[in-house]
Amino acid sequence: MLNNHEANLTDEEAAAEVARVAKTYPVVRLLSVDQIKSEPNCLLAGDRCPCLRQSSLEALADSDEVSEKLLSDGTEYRARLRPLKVEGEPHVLLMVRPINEQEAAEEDLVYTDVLTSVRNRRYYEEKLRNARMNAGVAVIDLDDFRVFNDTCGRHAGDLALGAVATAIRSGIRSTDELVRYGCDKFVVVMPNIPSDDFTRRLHQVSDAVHATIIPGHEYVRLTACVGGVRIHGETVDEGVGRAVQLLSRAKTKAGTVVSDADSIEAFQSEKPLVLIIDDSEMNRVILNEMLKDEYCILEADNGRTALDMVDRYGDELSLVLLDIVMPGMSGFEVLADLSRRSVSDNLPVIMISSEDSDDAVLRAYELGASDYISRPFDSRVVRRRVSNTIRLYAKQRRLTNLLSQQYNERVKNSRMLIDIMAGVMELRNGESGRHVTNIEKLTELLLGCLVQRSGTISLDNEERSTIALASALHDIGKMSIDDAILNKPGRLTPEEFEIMKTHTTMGADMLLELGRHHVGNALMEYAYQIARWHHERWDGKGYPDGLKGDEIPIAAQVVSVADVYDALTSVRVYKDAIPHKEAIQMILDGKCGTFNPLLLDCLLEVQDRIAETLARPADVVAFPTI
Amino acid sequence: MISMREAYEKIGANYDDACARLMGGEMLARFALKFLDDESMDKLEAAMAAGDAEGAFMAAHTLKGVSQNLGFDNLYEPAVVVTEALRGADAVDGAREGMHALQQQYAATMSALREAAE
Repeated sequence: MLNNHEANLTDEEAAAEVARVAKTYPVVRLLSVDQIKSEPNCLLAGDRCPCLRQSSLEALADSDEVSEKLLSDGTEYRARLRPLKVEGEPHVLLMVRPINEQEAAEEDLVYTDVLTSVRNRRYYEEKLRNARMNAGVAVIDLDDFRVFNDTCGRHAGDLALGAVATAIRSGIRSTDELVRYGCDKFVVVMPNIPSDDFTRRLHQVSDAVHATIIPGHEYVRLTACVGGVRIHGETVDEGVGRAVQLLSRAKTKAGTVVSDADSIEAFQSEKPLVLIIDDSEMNRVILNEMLKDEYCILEADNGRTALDMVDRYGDELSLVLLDIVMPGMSGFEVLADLSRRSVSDNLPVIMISSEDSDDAVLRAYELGASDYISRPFDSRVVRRRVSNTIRLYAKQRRLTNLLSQQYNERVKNSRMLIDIMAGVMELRNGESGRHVTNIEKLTELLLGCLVQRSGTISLDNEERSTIALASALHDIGKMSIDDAILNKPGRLTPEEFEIMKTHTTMGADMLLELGRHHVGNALMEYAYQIARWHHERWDGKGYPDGLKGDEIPIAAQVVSVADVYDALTSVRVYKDAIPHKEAIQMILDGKCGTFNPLLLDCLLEVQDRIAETLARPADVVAFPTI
Repeated sequence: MISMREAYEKIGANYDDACARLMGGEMLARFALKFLDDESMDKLEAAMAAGDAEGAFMAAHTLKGVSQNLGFDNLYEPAVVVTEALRGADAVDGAREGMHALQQQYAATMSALREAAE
């Protein structure tokens, strides 16, 4: 192999080298500097050229081989430009051959992002960065991707990136370059694209990202901000730099698409809306001037008008600047009014006044102001505070949204699982209808009443609904009771009853065993207590442990009453349904064992609501029998 | 015709600081000239004459804020005196003394601004 830098060949040697490489390269030319510089047409393909002139000169200048990949008539070629001297004169040996598939695949691999299968940063650095062209260059930045990654997990984040890359691909031309530029940033380069098509495609990309469905996280909607600029002979990197700048303006609002081809008005319509409330026109004018480039400004010269405007514009408003001392309604009164309407949770208010005493500042914060600007105004500070506050609130809104979507989804999922499990249990226990659902509702009703009546039992909303949810598992131990006993139409023999009673301890053990990875989980704790002790009685005559009074955990006490009521009012293989009133009376009379007197009071209090809330027998759809 | 800087210096106001805060000389000049149309001094004088302490406080407070924003330190200081004399007051009498100095500075400021406006 020749050492390129040092090679100085004779004419003959050069001819031999040409012949040698011609065995592997279908196209080989030996070019002198004059030829390279003066040949009017393309060195390779005349006027159909993917030009190599520049690369040839580069190779000469650097005294180093240059390698190019080029596309001609649908075939990819590898062109190598090797500088060498022939009879002391610098030449370039141009060798071109089609790239075979394996080689192409290998090269692709080096330049492909593993997660998204689009071009990687290395490709950008080596192939795109310094390329000069006429093109549309866009930076696509996913909004709040880190939050998504942190809350849904890395795996979901990886899936999302793949889905987003596919979405972006769908919005651009097949010949356009798509690069994963950073963790959640993509760069698109669209050579020779007309301005209107460029803008249209950027919007398509944004829409496609928004429509992206992430497998397993169907409830999450991703958005991306897109900044696009057109370059005319500048490098791609310069274009990316400008697009990033443009993007930093767009980032105030998730999902914004901004390109330098947009008319000013089009971009303005995307500007956040800011309301300035100040009685002095002079002060409003100053603030307006400071902010009008970045925001759409509304003005109000008194509190009443301002509140009307808040009502009218609602969610469209991004921020309020509020003067404290005003005739009529003061700024504090306006703020208090906004807090009462709980508008200020979503609408940040920045107070402005020269009343910079600590009291005024503190009072403003107490009334829900987000920030405070004192006079004299400094445009630099005002702008920064306004933009920071708007971003913070926008981010918080998106975050809250994301989290509550996820939370609701989780709750829905665990609900569904528990419902299925309960359904399976009912099926096997031969309990027609909604035994589990009824017990849950009853438990919730009784708990609500109990907390009100008792001075000592404190259970918040969440704990109460956790207990109610856990009640669904109260009979889980019946899974291990022989079907012949469980569904025996007649009375159980004493031996059979002893076996039946073990469903409490079996259930508790099951939960202990199955839930050992969830030690300390409130749902598990309650489910254990309920499964084990929902047949205990206040006087100690229940089973399995014969606990007495408040030795029985309150969750189990409540479920035991609910269980008894529902058993009485439901049809069983061995009995008919007993009417509501009669059932209540039987429980009060101690026909089903003794209960906590306080709980019986509660039962009396909620008895009408029980009748309303629970499915009446006519509504009950029996599970199919096996 | 004098420059805005000259007008500021003439009345003892802080031109450089206001310039830095309010986006440069051109913008500052626009704001400063707008002060010629500001009504808070008229309102203050009318409220003082009518013995309306609350109205006078509001107007003085606005004048204080505007002059502070525009960097009219000469006007801001007597405006503070008058505003504080009127804060929570039932009558306007306590502010009469301060009004004198305020009116003087106001007249000087307006005259300098008019010169700059020519």
